[in-house]
Amino acid sequence: MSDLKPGQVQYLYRHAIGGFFEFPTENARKLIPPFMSPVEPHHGQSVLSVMAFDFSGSSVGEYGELVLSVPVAPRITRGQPMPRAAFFPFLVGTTTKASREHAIKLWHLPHFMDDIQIEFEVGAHEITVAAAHGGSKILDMRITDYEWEPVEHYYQAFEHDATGTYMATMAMNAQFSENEEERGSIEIYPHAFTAGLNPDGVNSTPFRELWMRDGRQTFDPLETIGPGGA
Amino acid sequence: MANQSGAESETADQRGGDTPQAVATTEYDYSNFYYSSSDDLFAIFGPYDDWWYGSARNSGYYLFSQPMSTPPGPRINLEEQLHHETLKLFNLASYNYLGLSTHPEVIAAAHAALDKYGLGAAGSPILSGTMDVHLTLEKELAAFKHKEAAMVFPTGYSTNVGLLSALMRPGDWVILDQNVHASIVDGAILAKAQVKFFRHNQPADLEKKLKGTTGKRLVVVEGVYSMDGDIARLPEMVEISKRAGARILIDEAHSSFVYGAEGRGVVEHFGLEDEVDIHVGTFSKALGGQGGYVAGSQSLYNYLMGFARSRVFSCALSPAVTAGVLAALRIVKREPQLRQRLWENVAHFRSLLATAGVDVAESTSQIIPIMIRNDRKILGIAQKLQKEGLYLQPIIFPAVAKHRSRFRVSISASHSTADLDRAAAILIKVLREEEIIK
Repeated sequence: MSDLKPGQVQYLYRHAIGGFFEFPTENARKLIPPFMSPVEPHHGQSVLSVMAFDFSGSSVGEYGELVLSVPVAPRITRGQPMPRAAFFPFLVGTTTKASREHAIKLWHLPHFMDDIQIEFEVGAHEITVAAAHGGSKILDMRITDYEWEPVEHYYQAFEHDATGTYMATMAMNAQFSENEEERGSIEIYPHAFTAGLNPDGVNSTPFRELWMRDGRQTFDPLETIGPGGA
Repeated sequence: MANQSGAESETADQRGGDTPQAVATTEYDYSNFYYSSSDDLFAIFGPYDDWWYGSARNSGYYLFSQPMSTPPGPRINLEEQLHHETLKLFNLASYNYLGLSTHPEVIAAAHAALDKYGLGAAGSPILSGTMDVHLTLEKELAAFKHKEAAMVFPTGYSTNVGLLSALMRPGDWVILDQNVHASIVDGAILAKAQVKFFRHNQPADLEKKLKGTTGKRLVVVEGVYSMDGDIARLPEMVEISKRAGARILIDEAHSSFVYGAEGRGVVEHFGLEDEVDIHVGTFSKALGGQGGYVAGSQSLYNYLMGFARSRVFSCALSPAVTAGVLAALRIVKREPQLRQRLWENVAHFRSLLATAGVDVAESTSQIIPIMIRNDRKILGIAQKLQKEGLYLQPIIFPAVAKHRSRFRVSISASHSTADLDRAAAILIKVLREEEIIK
């Protein structure tokens, strides 16, 4: 981690997987601040992004993380790294208290305030993640691979709480696979973690599947971009 | 090159390659520039220009919209836009399915109409723009489609936009195959109707999406889908829609005049002409002209006359084009051998591809996707094809899903067997060299 610039924070991961699922914009708008625009792949249909991380190294040790977010319009500025996508994470769950407190303090991310359990199972050309809490299932997701290549991608994440509106810019360096072959799946269970979603409205097949392995996630210092609010 | 913001006015080229590293890659595509959070409307232009001039154009995006200097026939001259040279190419990219755009009778009819009426209609169809040739086309088209009435629109796009926005209202439901044309989606948006998409050509998902909808509902499918060349599973779609009490619309832009024993489209092919409520088509594909139509009941025609705003507020279709389309329609009725020739060509070209092991996905029509499934390589392959003498348009994300990049072959009755043999030979050679096939 010696290549970090001042203020940057880095996390190493074995696997980071994601599924993009269409769900009604009406649902998406209830999960993001009113001043943000959800990305719509089809009219009236926004995207539920489900990301699961298997972190192998960080200032708070190893842990697992589940992030539910809505892709939103990015902030594109000439001369700045071009974001591949931008997200508004509306709920994050982690497997350890230390990682949860760390992310709340540094990144103002909204968290499920109890440890959850995250299990990854790697197959020949697929990976599954099972998330649960105290014996109750939260979700199961299966992601498939395609061709692998090393990449450096930039993403933006927006956060909004009572103290302000923030933007985190991150670089993802990893072996990367992405496809839209519609081979993956998700099952969302009734649970407090998924209470903001209308499960009947979420497509059970991801239109896009991402899988990054043996990678690192490098955050630039958090930027304040607006006032806080309810 | 100045952009309209007045700021950040130089391009990456002019800055001697001082392009921000993040946009000087092929990692990005049109989808990355759709949204901008900036309060300045024009702020997106700078990053877009950096991408366009920094990498996109020269890496292959210049292949789009290159002008032809000949008719869209089997062999064309293309004015190449990277090195600015004229290329003589075999053409497998134009819609001209029956080869009618250059048929002598069509050209003569258009010439005669030009002499008789002048260049344009000089008015809206509901005011002064309707001429006798428009009504003749509508009447003969309705008779051809075995419908009470048919209405002509100036373009295919305006047909769907006008039709859906005329019929649907806020609170109504439009249930769409996810692969329908943008004009259908835009019409539904303009109507402020509620929209649901069902998975492409999957009747079970249509049934699922219909559940929970109430009130006025319209299901929309296409006869032949333009990117995949597959045909609608119409019998199941009709059965499910009828059972749910929903009306059904079929857009036969790529199948009318081509499918069915008499060319009345996929509805004729399946014997479902009377089961489908609204029939849409275009004149720009099989008839080689321009414009679109809605065919159905006289009551539908009457209502659209008042409420199809894209038609009401557009100039009527040029009388010269209208007369050419009318001549093309008469040829279609008179010469079924044109369709026979088309399907022989399709079968011949498909056999050449099959022998070589070319992946054409689920296509069964005259639209044959040559699946490359490699978003990074396809633009380079397109340039190589062009260099070897074959004109094909690459279709890439976001027009199709990631890794479903393909070339879209459009077979025409005007292709000779020798044309198709030569075009297939070029295609197969390049696909082998690029290791797309073995």
